[in-house]
Amino acid sequence: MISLKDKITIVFRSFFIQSVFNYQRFQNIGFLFMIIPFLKKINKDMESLRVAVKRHFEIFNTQPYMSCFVAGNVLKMESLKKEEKEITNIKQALVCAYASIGDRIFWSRLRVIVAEFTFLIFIVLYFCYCKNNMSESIMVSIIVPTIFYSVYSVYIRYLGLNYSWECGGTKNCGLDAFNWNKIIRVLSKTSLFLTMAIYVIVLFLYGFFYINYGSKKENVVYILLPFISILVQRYFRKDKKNIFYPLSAIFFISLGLAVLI
Amino acid sequence: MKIFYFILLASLLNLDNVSAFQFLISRPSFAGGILGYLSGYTIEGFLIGLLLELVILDFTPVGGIPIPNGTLAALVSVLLIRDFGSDFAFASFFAGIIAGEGYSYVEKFMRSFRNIFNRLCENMIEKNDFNFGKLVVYSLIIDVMVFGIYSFISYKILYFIFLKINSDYIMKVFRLAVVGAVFVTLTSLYFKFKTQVGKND
Repeated sequence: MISLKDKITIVFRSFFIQSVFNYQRFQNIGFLFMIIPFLKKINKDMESLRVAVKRHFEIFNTQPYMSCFVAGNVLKMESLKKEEKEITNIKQALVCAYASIGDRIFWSRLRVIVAEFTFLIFIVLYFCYCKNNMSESIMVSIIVPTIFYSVYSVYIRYLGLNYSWECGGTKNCGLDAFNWNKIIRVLSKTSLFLTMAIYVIVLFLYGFFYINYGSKKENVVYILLPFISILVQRYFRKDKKNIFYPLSAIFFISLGLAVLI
Repeated sequence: MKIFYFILLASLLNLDNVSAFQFLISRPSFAGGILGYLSGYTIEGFLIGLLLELVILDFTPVGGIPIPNGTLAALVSVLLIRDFGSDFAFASFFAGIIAGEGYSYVEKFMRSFRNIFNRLCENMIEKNDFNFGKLVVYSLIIDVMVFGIYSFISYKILYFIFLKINSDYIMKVFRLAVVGAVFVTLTSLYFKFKTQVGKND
């Protein structure tokens, strides 16, 4: 059986799953580092431990926050002494599925939401409470979303280990633990809403701080600049170019605009 | 505070990027805010960090693809603001982007270099030595060292470049370009999520 101490050890070690990330076998060493204490516990003789370790020395590449969903399942199968082929097949199937879910939830959405909340908290604190103490509002705005995100990521790792241990040995283990599609949908809508809110705030602040001062020529340039930027972004996005293309284009356009003002 | 301490702190924060934890303490707004606070330019460090973060959010690190390094971008930006003053904040944003993008190639090289660890690990398994923790520690130390060396070199190079091109006209260009960058990044985010919501529906 897996004890609370084992679970805490696995979750803690999962923080380092990408520490030896390599192009040959990706997170294999990190995964071994994560599960080795439990493998030692269930394999008392050296030979069976070596066989088990070799089995998990192969390619492993998943989303780091979701690694515990795979680890719990694998360790349950190892403790039940399932066949090597079965363990490897289920492991590889889950690795791909969780990589896709994790990337879409954490990297594509939650990471963006954290940045957006950082901006919004800063704006609210700055204008409502701490206009004279900028450092305080900045520290709060960077630390609070980070703490929430970190706690959630640890929670997901722990929960993943628990779920996958319970259903270990089945191919869809943990995949039905949550309504992943609904979570992704909600996060997409939240991100879109926050992006729109930030856009409106930035436009307001921009108009207020930039366009009211300076010469007529300067005002015209600054009024046109957002429109030019949007057009440039759309032009390059059409060809699926990364953001460095519109940024470089804006820099070159600025070289011309700066002559005017 | 000497540059060494800034680089050391940023190197440790950078471990959070890929190698350890992933608590998002390596994101540019966090690193920029903290480093800015320590250098006496909190607001500049934070705002440039936030804008760098918006740029980097356009990239998704799926499947082990290295993306521009936000921590390094924030570090270089803050160091340049510290040297040239807050008027230089706009230019430092572009300097940070160049340095951060450059590090993605170093990261790519590091991932190939770490293939060596597989051989070491194989030897350990043959000798029934299962203390993989030491491989993790070695890798983290190498990460810190490479980041430190790269950030110092890139900072020095960019320092001399910007020292040469520092003029009123160029500062005006950077000011305009940063305003444009804000709208480019926000537009990019908006359409990205609009498409995603459309797909989901």
